[in-house]
Amino acid sequence: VARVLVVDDDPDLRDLTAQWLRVDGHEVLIAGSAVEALAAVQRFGVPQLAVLDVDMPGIDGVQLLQMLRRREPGLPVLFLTVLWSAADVNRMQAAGGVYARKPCTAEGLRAAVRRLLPDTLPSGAGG
Amino acid sequence: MSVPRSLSRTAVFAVLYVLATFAGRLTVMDGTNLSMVWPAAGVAVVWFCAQRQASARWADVVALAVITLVVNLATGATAAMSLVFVLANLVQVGVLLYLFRRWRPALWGTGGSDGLSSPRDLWGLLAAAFCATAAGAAIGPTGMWLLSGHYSWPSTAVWLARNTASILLISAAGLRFGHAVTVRRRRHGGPGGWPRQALSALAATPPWRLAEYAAVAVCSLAAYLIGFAYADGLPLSFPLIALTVWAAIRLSTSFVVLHDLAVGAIAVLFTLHRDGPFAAIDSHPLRALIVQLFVALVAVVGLALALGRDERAALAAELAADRAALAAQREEAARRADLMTAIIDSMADGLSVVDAHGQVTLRNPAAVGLLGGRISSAVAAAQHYGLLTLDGRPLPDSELPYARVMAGHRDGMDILIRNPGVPDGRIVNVRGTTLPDACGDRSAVLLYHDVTAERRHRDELAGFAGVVAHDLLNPLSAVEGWTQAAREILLEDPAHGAAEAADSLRRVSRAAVRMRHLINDLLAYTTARDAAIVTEPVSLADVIADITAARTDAAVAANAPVPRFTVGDLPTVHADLVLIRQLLDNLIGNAIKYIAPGVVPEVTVGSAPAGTGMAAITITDNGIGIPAGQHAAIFDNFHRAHRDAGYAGTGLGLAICKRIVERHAGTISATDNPGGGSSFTVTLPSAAGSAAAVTAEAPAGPPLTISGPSR
Repeated sequence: VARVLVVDDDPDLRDLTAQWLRVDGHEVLIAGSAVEALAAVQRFGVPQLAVLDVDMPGIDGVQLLQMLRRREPGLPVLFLTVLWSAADVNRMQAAGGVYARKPCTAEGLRAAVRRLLPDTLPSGAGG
Repeated sequence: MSVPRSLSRTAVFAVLYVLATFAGRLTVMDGTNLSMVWPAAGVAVVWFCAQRQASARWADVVALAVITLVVNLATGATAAMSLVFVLANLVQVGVLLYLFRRWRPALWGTGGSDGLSSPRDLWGLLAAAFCATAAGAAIGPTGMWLLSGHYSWPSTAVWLARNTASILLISAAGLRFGHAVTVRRRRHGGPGGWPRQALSALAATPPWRLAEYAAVAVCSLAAYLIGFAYADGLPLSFPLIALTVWAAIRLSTSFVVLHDLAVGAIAVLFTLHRDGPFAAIDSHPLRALIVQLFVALVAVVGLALALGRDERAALAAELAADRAALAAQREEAARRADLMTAIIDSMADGLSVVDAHGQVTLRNPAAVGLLGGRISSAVAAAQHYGLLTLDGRPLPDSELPYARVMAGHRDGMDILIRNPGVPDGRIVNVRGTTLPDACGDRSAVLLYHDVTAERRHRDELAGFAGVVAHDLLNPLSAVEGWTQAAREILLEDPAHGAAEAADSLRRVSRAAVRMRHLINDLLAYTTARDAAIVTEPVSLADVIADITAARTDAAVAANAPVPRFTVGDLPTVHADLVLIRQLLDNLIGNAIKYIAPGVVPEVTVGSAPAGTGMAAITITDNGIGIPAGQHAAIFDNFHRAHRDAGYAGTGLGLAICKRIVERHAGTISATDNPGGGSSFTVTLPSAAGSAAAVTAEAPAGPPLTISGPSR
């Protein structure tokens, strides 16, 4: 069980990701923008994993990652995005994030999270 | 040639030969038994020339021998002497044929098909005739000496002179006649119709020319009669040559040959009859010798002049034909050059040719235009033309199109041209090849193709694909994910999960609506961009009334604040109704949508004249306005000024508006209101103006219909 920060400007997608993670027993912080995300971190502390949308108005996901890493250099980050061009993928990888394409299934997300957080075992449904 | 035909020709020539021999024998004088004139020598030459390819030539030899023998015997020669003459005549004709064939092999009668037509033919004939008669004389007079023990030098001289003159005159006539007959036969197949053709040729000859022929004939007859019959022994032979010169210079060569034959016959006949300028000479052989020399001289002068003139005329005709052909070629070349120039000048692509020294030797107007009107006669550095790489760096010298082509690169390259003549920049694809030029160097031929629109279109398309994928994948993720979530809830707890499942499905339908909006806007944009526009008078008042009514209804239905509309006088414009409705609906929709929460939208629509033939329509709102610096960018594809503030949209609405306005040759702009909110001003061709102001980019046709809400 881990504390996961989910940032997406699309509320439906944000809620979906959060619901999947909660089903797996994670504690989820949600934010609709980078600014909200930073405020949440300030308030609730640094998460163990960040799941970020990249293409957001204002501060985008990659920039947000850099800000979060300044506070927590080893923070594992999963980019959940529809961007696919080589330039965007390179930028995400250069920033040190793992990248998963939308649309993403619950199983896909679960596998990615497991890869990034090998120590935490999901507690199963209902958490 | 068949044997019977050959033999029949032999018979004809044999008869002629008999007559000629008899005529010759009639001129035997004194006891020398030597003929003064020997036409048979000439006849024999023509005979053997005509029978050159005959299948039974032995018959000719036999006939000649027999006739010579018999006639000589019959006219008083001894058998031995007759045999000598047979031998002399055969040797004479044999030598002549041999030499003449060697020297003039292309003539009719020697193996070729040409007629006797040049002075060289004449000299060849004369030389061959002299050598042949010399051979004959070596046998004839020598044989007579052996038989009689008396050698007569005068006889030898007479033999030489009479036979040479006879061969010259008669065979010249015979060779021309034979050639003429052959040509006729080749052209017309036979001698049939000859009189008719001769008559028509006569009719085609100018009358003054016919008069000249008659004058020469009459004058010659008169002069020769006077000179030989009535001159009373006066040596008046020299003026007669003038007549031959006259005929030879002015009249046809065949006529000259006949003229020579006629005057020669007259001279010989009168002299033998002891009349005329040579009659005073007592010695028979000497007299015969002199008159034959006279006749030969007349013949040589006449033929030399006439044939020389013919040869010059033929050369001149050849030269004129060459010159005409050359002129025609030059004209053709000039015409081709003009055509090539016209083609090159009218090409839409630019073309330039640069020589090995970097000098521009050709550059068409399109090339000058593509380079922004900046020209220089030599290849200039990249800065001169403002040549840049596609990412905007100055093009290094080694990467100049000219240098690349000279270095052997055949593939095209895209370059960016930006200079005061092309301030917005232009992307040009340049490809080229090298060609060897006249100096042995290589020239570069460069072809410039403006690909600005293509590249822009390509980039736009790529951008479109990216944005569309992005904007569709996000709602699609929601659709997939929430559908799965709803399914799981219903499977796990069908009894109590209904509310939760309904929430999931609400999210699904919200995502579907977003996708539908985007797809509708894409279709609308494509229509605005590419569909044919059909212009007609469109009453803006009616269109606005429809739109405001619909918007009011929608607000009431959605339980939202009902917008307040203030509509001034609106003109009738000349435009495409469907696109104008789309344009105004998008703008009014934006005015209502981008409003602060809780504020009642107030939209004012007014108009003002805007220059010749145009009307300006202004839509003013009390909305949240446009972020600073984005007043132009909001019209770009997928630009979303208020995304941060949570206003949904595809970013295509104003791009559609801009495209519609541009296709009506109008403008669109946005400004801030002094009292808050924004104003959008659109210009459109007024119906009072001309329809010509409208750019119809696609052929006229029914417009595509646009359905569904925008933005």
